[in-house]
Amino acid sequence: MMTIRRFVIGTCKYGFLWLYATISLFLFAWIFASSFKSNREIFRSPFSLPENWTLDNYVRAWESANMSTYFWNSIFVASISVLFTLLFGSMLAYAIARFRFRGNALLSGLFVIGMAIPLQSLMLPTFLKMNELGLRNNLLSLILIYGVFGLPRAVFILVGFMKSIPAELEEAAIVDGCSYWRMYGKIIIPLSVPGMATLAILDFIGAWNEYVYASVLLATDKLRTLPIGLANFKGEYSSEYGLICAGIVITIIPVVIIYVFFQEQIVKGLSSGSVKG
Amino acid sequence: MKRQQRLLIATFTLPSLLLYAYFFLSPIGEVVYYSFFDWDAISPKAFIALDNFKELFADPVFYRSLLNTLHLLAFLVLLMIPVALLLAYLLYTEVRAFKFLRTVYFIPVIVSSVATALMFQFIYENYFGILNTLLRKIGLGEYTRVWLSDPATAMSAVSMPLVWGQLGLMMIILLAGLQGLSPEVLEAAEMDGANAFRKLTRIIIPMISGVIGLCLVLAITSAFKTFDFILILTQGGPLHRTEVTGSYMYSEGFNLMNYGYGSAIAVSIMGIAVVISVLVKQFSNRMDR
Amino acid sequence: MRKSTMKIGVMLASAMLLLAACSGNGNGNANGGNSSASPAGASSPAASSGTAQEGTAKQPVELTLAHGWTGEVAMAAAFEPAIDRFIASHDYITLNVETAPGNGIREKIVTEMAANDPPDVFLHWGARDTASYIANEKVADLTDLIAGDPELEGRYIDNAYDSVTYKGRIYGLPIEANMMNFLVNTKMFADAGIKVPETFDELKEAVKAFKAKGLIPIAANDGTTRAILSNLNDQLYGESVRDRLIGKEEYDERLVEAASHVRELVELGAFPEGMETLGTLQALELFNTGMSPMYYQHSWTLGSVAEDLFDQVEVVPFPKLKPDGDAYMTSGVGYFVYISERAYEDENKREAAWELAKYLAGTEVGKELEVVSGNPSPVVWDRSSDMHPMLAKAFKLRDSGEVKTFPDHNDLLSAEASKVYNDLKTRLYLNDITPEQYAQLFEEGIKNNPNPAFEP
Repeated sequence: MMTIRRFVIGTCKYGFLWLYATISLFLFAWIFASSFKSNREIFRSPFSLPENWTLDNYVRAWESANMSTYFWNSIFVASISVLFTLLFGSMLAYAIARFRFRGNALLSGLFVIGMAIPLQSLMLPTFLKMNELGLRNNLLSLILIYGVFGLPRAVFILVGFMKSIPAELEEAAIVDGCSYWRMYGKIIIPLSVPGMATLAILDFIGAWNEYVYASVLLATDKLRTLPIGLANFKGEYSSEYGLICAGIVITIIPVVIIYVFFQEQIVKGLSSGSVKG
Repeated sequence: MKRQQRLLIATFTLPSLLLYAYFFLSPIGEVVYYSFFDWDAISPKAFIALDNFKELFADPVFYRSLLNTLHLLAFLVLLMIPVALLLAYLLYTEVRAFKFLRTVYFIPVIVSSVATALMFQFIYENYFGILNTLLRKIGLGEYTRVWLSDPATAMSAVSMPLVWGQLGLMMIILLAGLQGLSPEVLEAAEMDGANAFRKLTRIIIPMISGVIGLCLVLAITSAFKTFDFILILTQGGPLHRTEVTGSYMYSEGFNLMNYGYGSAIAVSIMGIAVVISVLVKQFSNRMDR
Repeated sequence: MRKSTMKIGVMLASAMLLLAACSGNGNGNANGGNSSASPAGASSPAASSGTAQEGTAKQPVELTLAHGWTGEVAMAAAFEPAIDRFIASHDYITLNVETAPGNGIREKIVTEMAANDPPDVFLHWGARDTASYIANEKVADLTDLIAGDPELEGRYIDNAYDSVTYKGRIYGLPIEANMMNFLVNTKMFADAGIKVPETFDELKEAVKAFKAKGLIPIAANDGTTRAILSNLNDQLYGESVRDRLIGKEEYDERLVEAASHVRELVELGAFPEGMETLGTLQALELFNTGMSPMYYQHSWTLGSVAEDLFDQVEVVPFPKLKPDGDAYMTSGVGYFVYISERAYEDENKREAAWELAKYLAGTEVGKELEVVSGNPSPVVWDRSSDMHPMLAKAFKLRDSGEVKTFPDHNDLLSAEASKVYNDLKTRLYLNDITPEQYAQLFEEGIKNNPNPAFEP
């Protein structure tokens, strides 16, 4: 009796887990297989394996679409903007969480309300600003935007985190004659690592994927980021489905590799930060 | 000391505050300002006070886009979070191939939304798309349809990529919440002979309500913020069937050059998003108590 | 705690490594800012003395060119090498090329105009799309330059400047002619024993026959219905449709008739299911892969017709409503090279920008566009036998006298009216409005949004 019940439960459990996994895997496999096909093949037999595994689509995607340049641009923008957010966000959160001063609540409110603002609504003023600063068509503009727009979430997550650090630690440090700067660097930052890791991952993913601002601000091919490069495959003027699939595969493989290498850190980072924050 | 501390606070806060004010707060002010003008972003601005808002509140497309945004939100809250919770719970109960499954669930999170949108395009394509081909193969050919255009399915179809793309993130966060629970509580529940479903609804969900709250906040903000996949899939069309507030703002502001009107839409989105966030915060505060 | 410190250390270190690996790249980008393809920058004036065409040294000048003919579109094959040749032969000009594929160029130009930082030279549609740039003096009035340049005399076909003329002044040089071409796959017609339609009734019969065979009769997308509406209205109204489009005269029940014919085709299942979700070239793929025997689209898609179909595809007149009536072909010039007012006012830039614009809209590039990309040029030249085969067929029909020509209706409407037109035709074929409603709303759209280009 018990074993039958356990069997049924087990089947349901694995059934559901693998059902969802299979849907995703099938989608990836379909895209992968189609990336070797011509349009005619895709139309005729969408579910079959390619007749011959030529790399034509990949060569074309890589050459005509400059994917390698886009890839490094994306890495560059995403990493620097994450460091930007972490540095300024943690300093700010430290002040808000650890000091009492007039305007403290106002300051934190000012940033937290920013979480609710859909960033795309600020596109034209931001564009005009970047133009004034001579930063249009410059990767620095994206770094500034992603970095600054990441601050509200940084304050939201890190303030909660830093408030949970016991005050005694700092008091002891003050007695030892430790400066606030050292305290920030030696105590607060190391203890906030889980929260910062969460933040870093969320911001990295966000910057890595961002499409709308990048498409408006970057004009030259050499500066484009990966999402723009990929979006260029699509649209009114292109219809090479196999080529689009090859482009998708090219953009997915690097992130999958990165994930597989760092998965423990990514999962731990996301977990600890989000549970506490 | 006092002065020193003030200086210190200033050095810690001012750089961020200035950057934030310049790149974030002042654009908000500018959007509000522009919303009072009839402006195509090129000709001289014409002050029209609240006319943009009057027009907006009589604009059926705007209401349609609001409804569609709620549709998207409902998908995230009623489909994505429960499925993510179930997956997290099942993964939590020790399974074989744990790491593999977790990887498969999480990969969509790091795939760029442009790639996700393009992949879903292949699911929905009419003639060779995965969904219609599958339906034909299993003899359900009469159920094939133009998923991205059929009024009954279009909005659900464009919601799916967002669900798929964020489900893994929710799953990881919920799994972390579960792993933070003390094993004793669960063992006690086991002893009571509570069945799996009861255990999930009566004991586990209340205990991780904080994490679920976080997922809700993330879901709500992304429903109002994300529209890049809609730009790629349908551009809000056909006939505004998949128009959400964000895409409507984008098309008015950037495609049709009604920048003043687009700004009025942006201001309304901001207002709605802020109100919803405050409500959620109030609600979760009450839950915590 | 120590353990987690270690871990973040590892993460940071790896992030740093990634950064280090790409910083060279990143710096290069940040400094470059533009894809300056010319090796001889403004810093090497010596190079300019060697300019081939001019004996005297010219002031080094930097220009920005923005265009959308990049990526997979057929025009890129001829246009991008042509730009490279210009760069190679003009040492004193440093050309920064900025691209936005397809319709992305529209958004790019809008935002840059708004930021008051337009490219010096750019490609764009006619005055309908640039009316607000013209009205706000963002693009240069080229009327006098054109009149004073002997090189341009007789270079273009008649009426080439029509849709870039605004209140009597000319604002761009024509670079692309357009036609609407009705293509038929004669082999599919022959195999099925169906007659290539010459009249609208025969078209309906052909649609029914191919539909019965499980094919998609006409490879169409959202824009195709507009093309059909234009053609039917041309047939019904003749030349007098012009006055109706610009609001000088009223339409009548013939507008309803044209709309009803489109609905007839929809009801017969002439078009792909979900054509509202297809891109232009995606619709062409249905034709290329033998799923559709007919195709009705812009001439710029001719260069994307599959090569193995060249022998069996013919360009024929769009079917006539009345057997004894005139057949029409939409034909005009709708894409232009503009110079921004800012570049025009800059003494140093004006000459170089004008030279670039004349080159791009010139005979050499026009020929290449026709031969390599199959994209019709407004340039008059002796079309030889090495013409792109599909384009050759289209020209043959256009110049045969078998069809009358009339420009794209969109080119006579204001931007707002054109948007109304666009929405209405979609609503019409999706059965959201009746032909009567279509006709009424279309006329209102024209009345409420007069085209400023025709105001005195």
